[in-house]
Amino acid sequence: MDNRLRVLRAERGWSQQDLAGRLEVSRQSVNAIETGKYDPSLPLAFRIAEVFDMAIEDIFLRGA
Amino acid sequence: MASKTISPAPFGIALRKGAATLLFLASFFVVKPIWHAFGLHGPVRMVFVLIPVAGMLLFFRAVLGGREANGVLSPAVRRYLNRLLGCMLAYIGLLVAAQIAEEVFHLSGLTLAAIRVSPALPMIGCIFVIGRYLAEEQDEYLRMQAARASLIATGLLLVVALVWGFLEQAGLAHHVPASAAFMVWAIGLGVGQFWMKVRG
Repeated sequence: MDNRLRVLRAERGWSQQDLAGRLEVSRQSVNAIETGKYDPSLPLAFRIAEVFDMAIEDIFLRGA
Repeated sequence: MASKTISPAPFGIALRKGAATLLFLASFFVVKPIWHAFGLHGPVRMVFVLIPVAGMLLFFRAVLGGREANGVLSPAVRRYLNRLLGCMLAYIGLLVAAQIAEEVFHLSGLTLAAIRVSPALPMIGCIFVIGRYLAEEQDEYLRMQAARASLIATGLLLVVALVWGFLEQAGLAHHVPASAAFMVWAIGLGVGQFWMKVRG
């Protein structure tokens, strides 16, 4: 699944570590989600949406 | 798709981890030859188990440093490593104590059985520690990686046991104690973690 995490993070000037801290996950997890190696669970996707104050479907895009 | 942004662990940490692993593994092949070379007998020779203990302490310290550098040191990982280290030290301690008790008191029967089995208890503790980690890890990605590594370890153990068993039945391999299964599984866990690290 594609996502806009990296772009949204860059827009806010957050490092992966910053975002990991806000989500209470490891930096490696943020990296895995950003690079599309790992699709987060629904609870974590909701947490990501809350952190960016956006809807889930505006962050995660249905991949090809 | 975004590029990988995690920097690799500093070279120094990787070097320390490698050196500590080598020291730990080599100690298994070094301690007994030292006993034979110097003709050491009795409890005094057990001082040399400090070599694998030192290797183990250095290894755990290097693992902690490496995980911290890579941003994968969750509170659950820290607890897991501390508990695992405790179990491993208890294992070596009980192994030495059992050997000394057997030699000094010339045990037999049920007492001997109890003493011989005692080092297995911390190993059983290791299995419990791994289970606790999977239950306590709040980071779902790290939990998934740990579960994957456990599956890889189990697969490797089954493959090794099957192949070795058939070779042994054919008289082409010597008998290996069943307790070696734990060691094979632990190696498989390391292989699984390494494979996932390489795969990214």
